[in-house]
Amino acid sequence: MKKIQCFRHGEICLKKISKLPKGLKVSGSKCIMQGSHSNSHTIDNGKLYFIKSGSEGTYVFGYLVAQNTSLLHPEHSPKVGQAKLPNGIYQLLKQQEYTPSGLIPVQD
Amino acid sequence: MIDKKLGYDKKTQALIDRMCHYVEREDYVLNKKVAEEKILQTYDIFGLVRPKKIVWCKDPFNKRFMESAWSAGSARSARSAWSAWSAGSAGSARSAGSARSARSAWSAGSAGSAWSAGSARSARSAGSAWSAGSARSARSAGSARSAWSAGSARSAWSVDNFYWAGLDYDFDYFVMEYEYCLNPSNNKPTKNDRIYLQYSTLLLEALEAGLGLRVEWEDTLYLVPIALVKIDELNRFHSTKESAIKWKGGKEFYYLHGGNIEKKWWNKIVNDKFKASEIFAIDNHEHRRIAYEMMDKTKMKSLKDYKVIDEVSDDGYGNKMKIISFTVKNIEEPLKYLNCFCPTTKREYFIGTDKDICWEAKKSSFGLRDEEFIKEW
Repeated sequence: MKKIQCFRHGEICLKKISKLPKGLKVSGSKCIMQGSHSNSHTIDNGKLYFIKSGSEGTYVFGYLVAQNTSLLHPEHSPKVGQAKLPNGIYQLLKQQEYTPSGLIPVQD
Repeated sequence: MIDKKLGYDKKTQALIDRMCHYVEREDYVLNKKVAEEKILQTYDIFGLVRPKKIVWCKDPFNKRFMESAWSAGSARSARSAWSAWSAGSAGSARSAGSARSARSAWSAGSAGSAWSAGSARSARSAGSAWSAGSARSARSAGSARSAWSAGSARSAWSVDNFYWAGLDYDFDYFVMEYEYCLNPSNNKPTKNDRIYLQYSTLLLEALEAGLGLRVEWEDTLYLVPIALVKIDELNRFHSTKESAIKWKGGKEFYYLHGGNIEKKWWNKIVNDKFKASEIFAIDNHEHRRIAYEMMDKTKMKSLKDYKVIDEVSDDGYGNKMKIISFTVKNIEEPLKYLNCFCPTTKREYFIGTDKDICWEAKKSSFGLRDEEFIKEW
C-alpha cells in the first residue's frame, strides 16, 4: 500500500490529503505559523485555511491548497523555490513534545 | 554605470557600505545638534513648519515616546515630514512614476537585495527589542508599565506600529531609488525622485550623528538615539559578551543566536552554569537548544541513569538520531528525548518523547504513524 506523503518544514508537517474538509473559510494570510522569534513560516502562493484550535485533535491546525507553492522561513528556506511543495491539498500539523504532564507544542 | 560583477552601480555599493558602517559600529558619539538639524531639514524640503519643541528620550521605552509613537502611528501625524512624504504630492509621484520601476529593479535582485543581505537595520533591532520588551512587560503584572500596557488600548500594540519610527525604515527604497537615479531604465528620474534622495540622505546623516528613531506628535519631536547591536553570522541578534541590543544609558536586551533571553538566564548559559538536568527542563525548545549548544557536553554524563536506547546513523540527511533517557528527582519514569538535527540548519535538538525508537518518536511528534516523509527542510 502506498504510504501517505508528508513534508516537514521545521516544527510543521504538511500531510498530503485527497480533499479539503467541508465548511472551511479561506484565510487572507500567507503566514502558516508565527515563530516565537519573529521567524514565520509563510507561503508565496496557495490558499490557507485555519481551524479552531483543538477542533481536530492536538496536532491539526489548518489546511493548505498548494499551487506553485514555496514554503518560506528565514532559516529553513529563505528563498522562493528552496522548499517547493508539489501541488495538492495538505493538512497542517504542529509538532508536539511529550512531557510527563502531557503534550506541549514545540516552541521554535 | 552598472558594474557587471555587482549587477548595479559601484556608487550604490558605496552607499550600502556607508549604511552598513553605521549599523555595525561598536560605539558612537551622539551629536545631538547635528542630528536635530538634519531631521529638521527634512521638514524644510517639504515646506513644512518645523516642530516647536524637541525632546530626547534615552530609549524607545520612554513613556512619552511610546505614547507619541502610538498616537502618531494611529493618526499618521498629518503634518510630519514622514506623512507628508507618504500622503503628499512627492509621495504620489514617486509611487506612480519612476520609483515603481526602481522597485521592480530592486526586487529583481540588484541593489536592494545587497542592502537587505548586507546589514542589520536599526528599525529591525528596535522592533525586535520592542517586541521582546512588550512581551516581558505583559508578563510582569506588578510593573507600572505592564499596568499601562494592559489597562489601555495598547494591548493591540504591535511591532508594525513601531517600525516606521526608525530612520532607516525606508532605506531599502533609498538604495533602489539611488540606483535608479544613477541608471534609469524607461522613465527619467523626476524632481520628486531627487527630493526623495535628498530626504533620505538627511536621514542617513542623522543616523550617522547617532539618531535612531523619531516621532512627531503635537508640535513636539521626540528623538531616541540609535541602539548598539551585536549580531551573529546569520544576522541574528547575538552576543555572549554583553547585551545584543543596547540603548546607551537605556534598556538592554540579551540574545543568543536570535533568541531573546532574560539577563539572568543569559548569564547562566554563557557562563555554563546550568546543570544538564536544568537545561532539559527549559520549556522553550529553541532556548533549550541554545543552552545545550553552549553547555559543556561532558555534563551529559552527570545525568542520572543516562543511556542511549536507540540510534539511527543517517536520518536521510546525513545526521544521526538518538533516543536518550535519564532519570530526575521527583519523576518516577525516566525522561526520554529524541536527539535529532535540523536538515537545513544542522542545529541539534532534543524533543521529549515517550517512544523508544527514533523513527516512531519523530513521527509521533506530529501525530503520525505509517506516513512517509518525502522531503524535509
